[in-house]
Amino acid sequence: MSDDAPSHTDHVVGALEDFPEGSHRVVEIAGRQVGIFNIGGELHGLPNVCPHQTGPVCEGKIVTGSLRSTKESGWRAEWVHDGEVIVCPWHGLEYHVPTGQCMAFPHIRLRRYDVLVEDGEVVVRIKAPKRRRSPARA
Amino acid sequence: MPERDAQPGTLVPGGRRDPVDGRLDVLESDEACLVVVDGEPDDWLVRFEKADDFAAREWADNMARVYNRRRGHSSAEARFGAAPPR
Repeated sequence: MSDDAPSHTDHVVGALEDFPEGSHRVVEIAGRQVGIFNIGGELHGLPNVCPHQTGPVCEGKIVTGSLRSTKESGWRAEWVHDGEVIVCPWHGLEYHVPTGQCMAFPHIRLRRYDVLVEDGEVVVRIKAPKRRRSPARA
Repeated sequence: MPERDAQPGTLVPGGRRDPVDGRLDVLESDEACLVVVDGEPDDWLVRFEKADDFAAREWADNMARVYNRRRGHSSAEARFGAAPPR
């Protein structure tokens, strides 16, 4: 297999206690930045790039819910996905972290990376070509 | 059994680096447009579903164009800080 062949690779990004419930942080692995979110004890990973203007969406400080108004609810505003929505710091576009779904545009979805816990370590599993890059600075 | 990377993930303070190490490209199918890294279908970042009321190709092209232009910019402030570029 060549270095550039697609494959699953596991990347340890820290201990589970480094990702307490309700927190999120951005890590760099395999030549990309991934936002790691702990929502209700479930870990989620999203790429740190907003589809709108490519802002660092996972660096948003706010993880909140969102207001939704649908025909089915008689167009009443409903508070949904409490604690599960990241707000891009550049222009405020919202994404549902567990699904990657854009709240404003239902046809836009961020990729979700598998995030596992193995022996107390948080592991991100990425299927992508290896990228040659010098280690990032902390 | 997946391969395991010995290099641990690194925290990214302040987001002053490129979010992705590579250029973005658009791959189109009958159902959607994918924005991928370096033309690699397995390495997709965003899926834009095609619909009569949604210009998936235009959204995807715009994302790739904006990212690739910003990535090549010499000024860090114009790239990926927490605030939008001026």
